[in-house]
Amino acid sequence: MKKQTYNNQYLLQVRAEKALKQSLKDRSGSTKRPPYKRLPLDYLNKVKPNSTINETTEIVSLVVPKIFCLITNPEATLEFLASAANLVNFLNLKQLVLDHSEVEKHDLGAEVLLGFAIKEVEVAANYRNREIKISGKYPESDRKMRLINALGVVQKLEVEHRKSEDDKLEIFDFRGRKQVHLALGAEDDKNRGAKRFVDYLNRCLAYTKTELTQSGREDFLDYTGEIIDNAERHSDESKWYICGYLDDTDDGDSQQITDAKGANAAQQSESSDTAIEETEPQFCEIVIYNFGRSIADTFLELSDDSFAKSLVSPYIDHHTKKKLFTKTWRERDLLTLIALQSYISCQTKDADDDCGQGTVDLIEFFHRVSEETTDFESTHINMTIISGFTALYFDGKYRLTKNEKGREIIAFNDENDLNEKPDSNYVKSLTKAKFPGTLIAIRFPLSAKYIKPVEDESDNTPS
Amino acid sequence: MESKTIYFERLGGPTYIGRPNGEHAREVLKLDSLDENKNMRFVVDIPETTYNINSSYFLGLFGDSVRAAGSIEKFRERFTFRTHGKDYRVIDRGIERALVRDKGLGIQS
Repeated sequence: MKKQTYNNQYLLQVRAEKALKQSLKDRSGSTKRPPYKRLPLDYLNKVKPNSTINETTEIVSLVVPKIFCLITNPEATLEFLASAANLVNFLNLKQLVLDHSEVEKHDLGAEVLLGFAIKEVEVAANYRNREIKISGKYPESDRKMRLINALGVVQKLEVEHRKSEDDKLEIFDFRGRKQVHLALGAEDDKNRGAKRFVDYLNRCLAYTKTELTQSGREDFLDYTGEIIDNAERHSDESKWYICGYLDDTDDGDSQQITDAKGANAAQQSESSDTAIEETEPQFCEIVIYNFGRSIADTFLELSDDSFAKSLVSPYIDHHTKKKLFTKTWRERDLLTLIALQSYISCQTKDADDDCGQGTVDLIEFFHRVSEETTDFESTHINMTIISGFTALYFDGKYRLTKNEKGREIIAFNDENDLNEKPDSNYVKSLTKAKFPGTLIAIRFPLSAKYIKPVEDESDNTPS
Repeated sequence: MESKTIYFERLGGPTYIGRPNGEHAREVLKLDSLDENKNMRFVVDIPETTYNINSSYFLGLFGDSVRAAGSIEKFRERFTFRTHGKDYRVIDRGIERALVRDKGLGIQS
């Protein structure tokens, strides 16, 4: 039998067929990972969502949870956000429906991150030469709709939407980057962002012919500046984000009133309901976040002989020895809690180092506003710090208190004792989801003591 | 007695934020070496247009000087703050924090 030999023509044909097959494979996008995925989205979908949706599906409908709040419902909210971010892996996706119709409560942080995630999914698809048709259903409340339009997914996707001339919104959306080369006298993003944020708040107050007092302005700047400083110092990413939102629109279906009634339904009388409607202060929402290592991660990565580690080790050892750690109270939760205390920072190098001030300033400011706000229980301030798998919740119940050494301590228990476990309703150990970085979200009324009437009523321009 | 005036407006402004910025200003002003001269007195001129000086910036710039002085009174003796009538709480707050030693919260078993 004559041995088969391959002539050049045959080999060329084989090679051409192989090349065609490869080309078709590339075009169909059947690679295992999408070639485009920006870093922040990669952080968001690192958390494996508990989703049963098949990743090969072409149509997805995501129903936004009823309580879509990072402040009051962090775990479920983060879990949903991870599901949204994970859509980047749905390579056959053609249509996405975001259903907000069941949302009863939401906050700025949740909507901002959702918009962020969906936008990135869209951009990733475009990079693969695919188009996803994205549509959605609004919640019933106009107030909620305005937030989604202003800073949520509608804004991020640049979708045209209905705007009313009666809308009174003040929006702040700033993205900053860490200054690599410090030039003396030059204004970096930190200074620019903080100053613009204060100016933004004064614009909000101009609606009511008021403005921040000097001390109010100082405190807002101090608080904002410290948080940004921390974000730049402790984050892997060079970027940080700050958002602000104030809705001063007068409509009959105010979420604030709804919240107030929901929070105190058993206690409010008809007269107090009317009082709330008439005198409800403006609520301002602030979210500042960065992606990267969590607070606990930065401590866990320290070498055992570092000074900063020596500050936290006694606490870890104590809780371990007393067998206080459980599934709902873990070492990383304690590390996050310890990091809030004064003079504790992963950057602390020695006994003279005064690092560890920023978060104390934040908490002090929060408490001052809390003390000076109105008497309505419904206007309590809510704040959360979420870092990795730990969420700390503040509503004024647990206070920062100086000990005999002059250190401010907040332990989130009745004894205000860091030796004891904290209240699990206030220091939450997340298991199903995490925030890959650090996020601070605050919702607070603007206090009368920080506000003074503008002297000349004809001049509404904030100073 | 020698004297040096530190003009904040030359350091940037109207907001002064961030420990690295404060430390950088300290480096440029050569405050570490100037601090060694016990006869040196400083006037810190903070312009009226200043929006805010935040704690970390103050501590980055003056923290080591406060600790070198050793007490509020001695620091205030060396550093006079010319604030043009404005009250900056960050100054007293920053001095107080810079002087708190013995880090750690003390654990009671």
